Amino acid sequence: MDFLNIIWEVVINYIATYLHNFQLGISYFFTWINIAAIFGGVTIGCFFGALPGMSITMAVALTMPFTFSMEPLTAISLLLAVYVGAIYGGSIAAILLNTPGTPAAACTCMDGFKLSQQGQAGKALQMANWSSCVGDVLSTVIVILVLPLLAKLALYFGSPEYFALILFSITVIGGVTGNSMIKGLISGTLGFLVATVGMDPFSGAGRFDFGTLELMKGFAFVPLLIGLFAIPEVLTQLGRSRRLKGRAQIAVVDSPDPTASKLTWPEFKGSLRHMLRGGIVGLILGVIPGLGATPAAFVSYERAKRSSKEPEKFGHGSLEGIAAAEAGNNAVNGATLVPLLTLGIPGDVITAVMLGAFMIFDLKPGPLLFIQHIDLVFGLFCALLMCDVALRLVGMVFIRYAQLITKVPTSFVFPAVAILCVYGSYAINNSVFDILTMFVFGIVGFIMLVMGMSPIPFLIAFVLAPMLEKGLRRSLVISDGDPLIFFKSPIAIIFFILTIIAVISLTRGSLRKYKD
Amino acid sequence: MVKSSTIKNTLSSAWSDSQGRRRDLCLGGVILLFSLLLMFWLIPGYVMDYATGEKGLSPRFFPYLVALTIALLSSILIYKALRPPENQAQPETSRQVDRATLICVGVFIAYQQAISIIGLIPASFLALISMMVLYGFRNWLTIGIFSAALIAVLSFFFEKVAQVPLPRGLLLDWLF
Repeated sequence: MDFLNIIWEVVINYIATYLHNFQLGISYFFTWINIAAIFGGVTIGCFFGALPGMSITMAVALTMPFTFSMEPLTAISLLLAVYVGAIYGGSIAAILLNTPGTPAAACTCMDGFKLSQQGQAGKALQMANWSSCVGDVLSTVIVILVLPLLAKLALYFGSPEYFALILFSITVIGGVTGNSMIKGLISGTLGFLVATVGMDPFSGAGRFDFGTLELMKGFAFVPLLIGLFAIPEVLTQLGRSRRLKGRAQIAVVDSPDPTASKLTWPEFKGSLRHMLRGGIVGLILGVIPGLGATPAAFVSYERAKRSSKEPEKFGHGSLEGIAAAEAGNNAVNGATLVPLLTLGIPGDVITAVMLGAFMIFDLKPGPLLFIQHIDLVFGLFCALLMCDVALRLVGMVFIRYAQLITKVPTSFVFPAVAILCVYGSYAINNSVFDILTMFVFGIVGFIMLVMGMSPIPFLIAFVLAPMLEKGLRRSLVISDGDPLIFFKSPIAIIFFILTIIAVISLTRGSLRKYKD
Repeated sequence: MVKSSTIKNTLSSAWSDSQGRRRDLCLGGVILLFSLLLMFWLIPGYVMDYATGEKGLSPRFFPYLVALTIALLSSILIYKALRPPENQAQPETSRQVDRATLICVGVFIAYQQAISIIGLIPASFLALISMMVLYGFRNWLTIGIFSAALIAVLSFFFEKVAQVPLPRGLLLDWLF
């Protein structure tokens, strides 16, 4: 009984401490200026994310100077809001223009654009908005409750674990995109190859640079991303537009049903379990530093496809697919704060900028932050929850007007998209070479589509390749070349087993489809 | 020992059977050749190797691993393409290449080259007009107004708001 009493007291103290800290955070956060920063940031982020050629990095870079004169919580909340808005904005571009604003939104492209072509862009956008909110809120609430435990999870990931996890992610991505798993894996492996262009991360030796300075830096990510998706779509829409003498619209089917553009309650309810699962997947994968939202979006999508009653709809306009991808994608937002706040490890460029903001305000992430500035930490969590409210409200406005783009003739939309992509590619590094990169990979992406190969695994592999290579080579250096190091880690073994299960499951699924 | 006639029959069957199998056969063949080129020419010739002998540290290690994986996967693709038709899935709908597509690619090439010569703004204006005409739109007044307005807005935003100096090109540099 004494033991139970002790446990009960510990639990009560834990809850009381958290409630007290949450109250501190609420009273610190809820000022008009902070709320305005959140709504403003989400709007800016949505706008930049929705425009092909613009990027999250550009949105954050343009917002950053305004934060210097702000209070710390206001400044970081603004950057966070821009990030959250841009992640959702990337989905708008993915759904309406088949051009993802972020790599994770490439998953939403697969179903979102198909729904736009069916005249159901509004429905797809609303599903993306709702699932982003649900995934993010779920992940943030859990992060608030179990922050210290999640921080410990991040520490268990070393080089062998990273290698195994990324191998699993690429296998899943290669399998769920397109009809052929082999072609998906070839696409992914080609992405790995392109990522090796530039300097070797360990020795600095040049790889495939052919003696040119531009190639020594490697290919810039944003031009490659928009080239792979925007340019093929510009080329694809050309034929249809010419046949209709310049009057073609994105929506191929003009649905007479007024509910075609509205998400119904049964549709939302039917996808809710995918949203919740996506939230958990995004939370777990989001705490791992450096991984980003992409694996979370695709793993969540793959899980949803396997558990769906209509898996054949995935990739052809499935609302469940959008729900799963977006929930997984956005659930990373809250989780990515865990390694940042507890260990001072930024997960991506945006959290690196936030870390910079912490430094500017003389705040050091780590255990001391939780002692000296607990109100700031919980204020940030309040900011993240408020971002979801802002995302819902701002999103409604964007959805109302953004879906009108499907009614504009493609002879206006896609040439404008191409020009915007050129400006956006140039602006990354002020380099004309990036424009060339965009066009070259645009043509590569089109050829891949002609040959029936999805460019999505190519892009994701390009993003994840540096981590995969570092994980592999560091592990081999640590073990002095002994490959058994990968089998000494239980986490790595689990991911290898999951990879094998994924390959078998996807192969069996394909064979069953052929026999049917 | 597999007879050469059997190989010839399998290949010609895959080639003539369906567009999808033909496409996969070409793709697999090209990628396999590329992977061999990679392994025997590109990597030894264009990847510097400072730390030979150190396990995992060689800059050539990962490219070789990737090249081997590409070779293996393309071989599997070729094998699948050569398999009898009843085991093959229907090929997914793929894009078609026509004359307009090739012209559009030509416009992109010309646009990219023109940026260095006449600058981004004039090149973008001309490229936008060209693409809208290629897309089949024929109202010249609308094309002109839309192109001018869009380029003006974009250029203003990038130059004045984002503070990105846009390339002026050799011609504008020489003139002004």
